[in-house]
Amino acid sequence: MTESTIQRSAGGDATARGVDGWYLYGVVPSSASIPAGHGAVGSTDGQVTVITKDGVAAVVSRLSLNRALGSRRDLLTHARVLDGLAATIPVLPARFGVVLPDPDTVVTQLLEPRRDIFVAAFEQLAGRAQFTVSARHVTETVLLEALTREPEIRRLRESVAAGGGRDVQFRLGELVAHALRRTQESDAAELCNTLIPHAAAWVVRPVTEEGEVATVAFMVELTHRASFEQAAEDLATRWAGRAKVRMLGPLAPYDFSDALLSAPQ
Amino acid sequence: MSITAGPGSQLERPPSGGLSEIVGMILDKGLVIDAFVRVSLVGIEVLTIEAKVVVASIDTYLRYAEAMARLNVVQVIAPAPVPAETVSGVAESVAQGVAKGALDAVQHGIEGTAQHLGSVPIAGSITDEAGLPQRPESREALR
Repeated sequence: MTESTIQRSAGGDATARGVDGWYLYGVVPSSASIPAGHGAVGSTDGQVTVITKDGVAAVVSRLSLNRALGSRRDLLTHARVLDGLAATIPVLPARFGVVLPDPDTVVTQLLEPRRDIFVAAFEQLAGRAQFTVSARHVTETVLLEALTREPEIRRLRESVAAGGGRDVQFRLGELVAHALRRTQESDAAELCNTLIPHAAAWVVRPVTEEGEVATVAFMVELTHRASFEQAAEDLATRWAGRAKVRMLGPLAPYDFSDALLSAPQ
Repeated sequence: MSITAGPGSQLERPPSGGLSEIVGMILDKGLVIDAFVRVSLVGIEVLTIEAKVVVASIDTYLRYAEAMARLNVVQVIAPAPVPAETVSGVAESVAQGVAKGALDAVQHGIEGTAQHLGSVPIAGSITDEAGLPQRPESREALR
């Protein structure tokens, strides 16, 4: 999907327009200043800069189209530039891989047609940033909890130890899987209930890995940042030995950008 | 390379996300516009994270059974006091052969279950002035 989107071109390709493009990181209020030192996508010495029009600014860098994008470094640079901005100013992140042919197109195709949407989004983002909190269970501990909680699991475990057959093993495994699922669900709810009081909005991401408790993106008022961080700290302490809690942020509002950009005009 | 928030802290605070975390965010979310020039992306198909559905398969079950069978529960200690109202019915059988730390954790887990099970919020906003729509429903506005 990404590829087809990327390769859709508006009136010509790189050959027709020369070998340079403008890589787009995101959009910020034009009063923002861009901290240096993150490098630029597609080059090691590139300069991240802004193209400004009527109060909104595209954060861009010059890009040679002779080189394919998508290295580890490119991806990390995209995120670091955006997250570096998000700590201090409202920023609307672009998806990785958006390249425009020239500064004029940045103004006429990006900034001018969507100015009102961007300004409205900046108002909602002012003084806020995304924090993403995830947790993973410590397998041995949650297995022990399941064993402790469920007599049938203990009974089947003993049967397996006594040489029980495949069907006993299967039944044990099924009960364990269900028990772990219940633990995951209640812990995911606990994570949400612990942090939601300190956040302005949140988005729960789908659980994709075994052992994952939850991954939740929170929009946090920077004035409430300390209490949010403390709540996450307390949760990590409470779960020490049974789950590891991890926090990223401040981040650009990736998980909220669709909502922000589709807000009524 | 995880960095915790401070001495004694249990919370992992890495200075930035790992590659897989970043890929999940920046390839899938954010502003998209139509006025692209043609650029090539390398390795994206390898890096893109497909949402892996956790399927409860026969293999999974057998793996869990094996993990459970291997579990070390030999530290037999005196049973910890268990509040009857939270774990009644479980307490009796629990008392045999399980370490206290696990018991504490179980109590914790059971309270959590009673309170929260089935009430996992999906997305939302608790402050009216937040003004963010409840879920990201559409990115059509920018297509």
